[in-house]
Amino acid sequence: MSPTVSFALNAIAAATPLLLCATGEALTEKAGVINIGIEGELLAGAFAAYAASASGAPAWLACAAAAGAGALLSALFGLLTVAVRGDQIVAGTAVNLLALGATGAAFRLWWLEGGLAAAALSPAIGSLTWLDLAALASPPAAAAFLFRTSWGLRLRACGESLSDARALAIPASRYRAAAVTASGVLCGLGGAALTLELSTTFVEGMSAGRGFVALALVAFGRWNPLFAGAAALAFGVLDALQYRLQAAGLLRLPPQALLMLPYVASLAVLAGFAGRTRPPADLGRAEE
Amino acid sequence: MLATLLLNFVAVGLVATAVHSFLQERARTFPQTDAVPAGASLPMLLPGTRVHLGVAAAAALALAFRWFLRATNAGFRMRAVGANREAAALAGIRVARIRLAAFLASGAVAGLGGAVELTGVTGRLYESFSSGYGFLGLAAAVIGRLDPVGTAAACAAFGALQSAGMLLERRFGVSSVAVLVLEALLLAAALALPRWRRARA
Repeated sequence: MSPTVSFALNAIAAATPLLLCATGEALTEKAGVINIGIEGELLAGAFAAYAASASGAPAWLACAAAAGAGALLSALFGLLTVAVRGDQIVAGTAVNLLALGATGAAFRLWWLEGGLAAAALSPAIGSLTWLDLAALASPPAAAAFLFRTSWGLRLRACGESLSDARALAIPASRYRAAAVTASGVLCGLGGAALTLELSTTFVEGMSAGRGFVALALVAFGRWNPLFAGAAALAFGVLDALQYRLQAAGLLRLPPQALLMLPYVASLAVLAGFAGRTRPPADLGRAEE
Repeated sequence: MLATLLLNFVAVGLVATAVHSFLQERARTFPQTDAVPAGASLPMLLPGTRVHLGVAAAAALALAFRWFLRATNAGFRMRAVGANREAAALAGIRVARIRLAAFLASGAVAGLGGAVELTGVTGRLYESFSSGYGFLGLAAAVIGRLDPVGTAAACAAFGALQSAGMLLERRFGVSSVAVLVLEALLLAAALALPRWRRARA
């Protein structure tokens, strides 16, 4: 395989968790729910994939466990924000704390000694696994759903104007709950990619802010999953490039500086440097 | 709201970059700064403990903010803006100015929080210096029903939980991260409780 192709494949693999999380977050934010709990859902997915594969499950089952763990956490988030109508940032914080505490405690309790290697996903095309392919397909699929189906139109109505949604008899709670659950499944799968592809084991707090990066990518992509996905890929390229440059000794910049980039770029977009842009009007607002 | 959320991570990134490069300790071993000189750390209120002057400052600030919000004209205007922005504007309150003032004040107080933690407890700056204090503070404000004294009480409860967690780990080997689960459940309960009360009323 030529170095360029293998570099591109590395970049896509590095972008996989971000692609999945950004797509999930774009769905919830279009429905008017800002879910900072995706960081915790990602971590829970990573842990569930590890726990399943350390117990001898094959890779596909580990992925299913990760999706399930993400869905479970997002259901809790949905309960707190959509059903109880609590503050979305506080509910997201609760989900993040819960994931960090529960995965950390369980990992120390059962696996700290003799950390087992997780099952590896087998490649489908080149070195890309089917999980990478699913991640690549998720932004266009979400965009097609949001902008080309009537369900997607109704979902966007819940994010733009709850009062209009109510006037049209759209059950906003259901749409929001569905979007939140879908984001949990996507983030859980992103976590599986962390454990099974980018690493070989579980480390406490291994999501390392990727959920928050995805949050920034959604704003940077102006709430369009296609643009957010493209931004995630660009970030994957930068990430892979950074490794190469560090390894070659060409880069003296600490890698932490790179982590700031998506946030600064999103702030620039929000501040209007890239033309007019605005979040969904009822983002963060609970139903009356 | 989104911009403030994103700025969090810019600040975290700046600190991480700094402690890995130009602010790194002279020994160059860990990504942290040198300790602050002895004369620059906060005096302890109770000898032999970690109760430093910042604790008293925080309590005084909570009382001062409650007094400000309840008993002064500016505080009344601030509450009016929060309760109903349009009504406040119609009553001649300069909404943008008040909101900006509140923003600046909250940033200043949060900065003070970082300063007393550094000069009173840790003595140096390092990566992940703020292990989610900001988010917990936000949660405490919700649990304390946006009242400064109630918020301070909620913060004290969080602090008690955390030190209880450390104690459990030292004495009984229960890992301290389990406390995070407890905090999460506390938050979930605080979000769910008002709704449940309303449903019963």
